[in-house]
Amino acid sequence: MKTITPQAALGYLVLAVFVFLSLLPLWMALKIALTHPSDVYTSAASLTPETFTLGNFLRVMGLPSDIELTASRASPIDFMLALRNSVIYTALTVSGQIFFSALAAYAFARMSFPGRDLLFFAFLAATMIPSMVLFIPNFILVKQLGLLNTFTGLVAPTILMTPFAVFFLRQFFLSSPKELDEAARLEGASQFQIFWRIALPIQKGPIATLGILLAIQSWNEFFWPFLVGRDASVRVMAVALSDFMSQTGRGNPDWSGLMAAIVLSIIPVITLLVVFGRQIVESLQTSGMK
Amino acid sequence: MSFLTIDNVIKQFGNLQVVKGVSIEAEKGEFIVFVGPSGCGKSTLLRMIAGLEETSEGTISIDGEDLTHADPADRHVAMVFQSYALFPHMSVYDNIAFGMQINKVPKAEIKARVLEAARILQIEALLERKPRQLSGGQRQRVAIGRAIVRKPKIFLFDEPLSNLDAELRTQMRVEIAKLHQEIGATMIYVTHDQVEAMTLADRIVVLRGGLVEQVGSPAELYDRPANLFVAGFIGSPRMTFLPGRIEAAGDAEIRVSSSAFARPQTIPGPFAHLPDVNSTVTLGLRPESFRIDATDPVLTATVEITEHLGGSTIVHARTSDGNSLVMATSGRAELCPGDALPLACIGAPHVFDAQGLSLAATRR
Repeated sequence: MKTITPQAALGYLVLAVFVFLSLLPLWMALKIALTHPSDVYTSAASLTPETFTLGNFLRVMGLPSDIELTASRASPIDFMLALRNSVIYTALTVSGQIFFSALAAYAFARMSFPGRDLLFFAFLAATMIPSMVLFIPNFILVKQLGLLNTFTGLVAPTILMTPFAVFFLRQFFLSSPKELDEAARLEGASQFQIFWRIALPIQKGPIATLGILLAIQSWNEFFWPFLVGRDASVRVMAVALSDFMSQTGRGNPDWSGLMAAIVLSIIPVITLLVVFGRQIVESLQTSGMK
Repeated sequence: MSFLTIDNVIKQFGNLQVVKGVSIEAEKGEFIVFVGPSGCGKSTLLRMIAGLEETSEGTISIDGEDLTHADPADRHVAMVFQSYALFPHMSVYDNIAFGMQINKVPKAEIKARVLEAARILQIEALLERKPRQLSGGQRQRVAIGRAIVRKPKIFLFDEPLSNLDAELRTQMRVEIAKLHQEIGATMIYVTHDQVEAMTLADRIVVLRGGLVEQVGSPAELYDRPANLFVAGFIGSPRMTFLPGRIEAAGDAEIRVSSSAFARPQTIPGPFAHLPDVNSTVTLGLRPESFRIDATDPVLTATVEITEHLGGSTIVHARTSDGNSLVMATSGRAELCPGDALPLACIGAPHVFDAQGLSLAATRR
């Protein structure tokens, strides 16, 4: 039988503490979401809900619930609309970024043109510009273009490409054998056909990983959608949750409703991580990004 | 005009000249092998024919058409890569059909041509598989299949067998030779393995340092190497080289002595050029040029290692003046390390002058 050394035991203990500390907020959110609003404060010290109910989830989704609240708090947010908006925002951002970033990454990896490396390093340098610095000029631009409160305005700064996505995919295109491109070239394939029919399908694993990373990032994106997408018709989940916080009564927020909405909103992200976690880690290791 | 004409081509990478003015001609249906050590420019030359490398100077013509700067797809050549370069996400069928699909060949014709290639290469049962589900030899066949269906004017092979194990390499070598017989296409084949070159080629082009050392049939290169490099490169086991000195030189014959020889040897002419008397030369003897002769030995060597190959034996020995010598003998020679080996020569040695050029042949 394999014996565990004291050092290994200490390592596991430290890891266990970190896992516990990481999962605790998630568990508390779930616990509060499963607690009746009237019992939130009385059971605050407990790790398990005193009275178990799914009512918070039902009312957040606009479904009939056994929890009776005042009219102002009965429907904290239009959850389904925010969900739809988040899905649209995420889908547009992810698909756009992957397509255009892959084109740029392939060009940087495979094509030779004057100033290619300089351009790539300029691209990389852009990752060092804090996003906060770009918000104001981007906001002014989107406003002047009349794109406030539209999906076009929401996705405008990120749909084309991001330095991260370009760098990530370039690493994989570089690692794929050049002979494949050359073989296709000899067969008469154009540069775009080589990209579309050979280079891109070969990298479907890394592309899926990038898609997941971008999806998680887009799903959680708050500040930009908060700036340009305040209207309910385009308001994404993260903004809707924040609005919900500010709308509920001062000193007496609807914690159980909020937590139910938060738990529901993170289900897609958790699912992606659980299903594709290993692939994400492997791809990141291969790309040399971590 | 030849089917393939490579005229004084040069390939320059920055300041580095990799191919330094190579001219080669190949006839239709010929099997030409480029052979040479690593870095001699053989693969670069092949890629220049394919159009995958720009030609810095000179011209490349195929079937009378100057294609020096033509796009690879317009050259009517097909290439089999060392790594096979099969598209990993496509089935064997799609790999073979890819070029025709790109060029919008009717589906029925694609199918017919893929099936025909699969029949020739005996891979009909593999058409639905992905490359990762194939063995090395099967992948090689698929790569060849992809080349066959295009019906190219010239097949280009870039060290296609180097990733295979020894047994499979021998088997595939025979299959490539059969394929050449069956379809009769012009083939240019790059290898660093001189056994492949000797067994496959109609003509071999020996390259070194971006230059052609000698062009000729395998027998010509073996029997009449133009210089020391070709003499040493072609033939396995290697030729034995011994230092020599010219005792007498005439048009009909020359006499050479060697510190390894018991007495001077006579080399019959004709000669391309005559060396000066007393000039130093290098004598070359093939492994099968030696025979054990205790009655009248020309030289005596001491056995170091014997390699029994079943039907023959390779003997590694050292001459009395300290040079290494390799002898091949049929059957099983019962020799032990340290044994004195009295040897006679079968035929005259090759003689190379101080510049390394053969006195008998100067074809370059």
